[in-house]
Amino acid sequence: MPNVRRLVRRIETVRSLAQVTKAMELISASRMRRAQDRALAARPYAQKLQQVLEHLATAASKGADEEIHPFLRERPVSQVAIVVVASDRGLCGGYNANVVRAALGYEASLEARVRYVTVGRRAREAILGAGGQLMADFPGLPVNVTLGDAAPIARLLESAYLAGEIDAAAIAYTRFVSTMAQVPAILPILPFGRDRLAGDKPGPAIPQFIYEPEARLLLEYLLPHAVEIAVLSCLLEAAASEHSARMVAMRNATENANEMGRELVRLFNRLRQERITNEILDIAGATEAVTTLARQAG
Amino acid sequence: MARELYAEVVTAERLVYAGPVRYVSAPGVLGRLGILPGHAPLLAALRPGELRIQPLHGNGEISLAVSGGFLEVAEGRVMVLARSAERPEEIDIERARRARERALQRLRENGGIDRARALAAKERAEARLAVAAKRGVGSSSGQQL
Repeated sequence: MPNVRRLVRRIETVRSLAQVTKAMELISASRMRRAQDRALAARPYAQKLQQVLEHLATAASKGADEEIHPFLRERPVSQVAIVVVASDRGLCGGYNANVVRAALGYEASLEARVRYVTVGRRAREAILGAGGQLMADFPGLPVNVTLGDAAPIARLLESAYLAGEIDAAAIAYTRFVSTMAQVPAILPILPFGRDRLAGDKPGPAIPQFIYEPEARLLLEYLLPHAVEIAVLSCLLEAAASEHSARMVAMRNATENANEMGRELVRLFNRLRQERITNEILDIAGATEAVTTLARQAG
Repeated sequence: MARELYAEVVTAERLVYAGPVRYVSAPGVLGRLGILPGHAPLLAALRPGELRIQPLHGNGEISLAVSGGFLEVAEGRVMVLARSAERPEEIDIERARRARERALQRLRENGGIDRARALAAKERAEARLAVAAKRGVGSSSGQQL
């Protein structure tokens, strides 16, 4: 019965597939936990840095407006860089496609020439496929994202911004909400939004601070670092999202494979039963024939 | 805000230290900063170097290698935002030595563009080595003296 043999082979294939996806699910689960922990552990620093930055921006803005740091200065936007953070690999549900769609949607909303900085092979392929222009591309995120992964991206944006090659930069990444929910998001990086710094509000009553060195210089130290940290927190969020998305995708795949396996086994059992029944019928028929013949002969 | 001081050291990756302290000594860009309870509000940039913390309880001293960052003193709290902060036993001495060699090499060869970066790398490596030298002096466990 070639049909049955083929079925047996299919059952084996489906089973080993389920084993593979199960293994991938477990790997993603452990990476996901680590990535989630790191993303959460990085939040206090980013928040504190933000506070210091607000404080300094307020203190430094008491000077003349033309002395404002270039990272804080808005200018007419005709060229924009969009960083798209996706993955090197697929098998993670809509993770890659969603963030790319968000980036392209953002481009469509801008009246500026857009160039892309992609993180991850899938981002690169998708952006090129959509006719986007690349400014640079980076490999996908490692299991443990560190400042070392964020720094080159931040530096690239900063130097392009200072050189006037771009007037603004934003990151399209996937914000981590929970294991089941990740939302694509766009975060403007440069200029380092004055709105974000609440610099327009009359400064909150800052006690008489000593600045070492003076506030404007401190701000100069701080801003590049703040850009780096903003990039880093996007990468951390993206990594947590990626591993969560992959874990969930692999869990679904495992469940589907198991379900398919069960159905195939059911089919196999039915076929086997059918064959047995047929054989019994054959035997019964043959016996019947033999006894009839014997009776006639006798 | 009586005579109390609470210190927190955070890096982009984790919270390194948090607790009440007697004093904090930090490598400011304009010179070493000593922070005692009742210090005036201060915001300072840090250079690569050794950050020393004496916890309120116990009589040890914690030594951390920081590679630059910021320090804020306000309302009885010292907040250190460091690019990195490592305890002596966490430092990879070999790696720091190699980093220092590389930096020195680059400083010898190349007077131009990357000088500032090489200098910074050298400072970071030296800060690490200085802190690593305190290994086993009961630094992190606070058992000194």
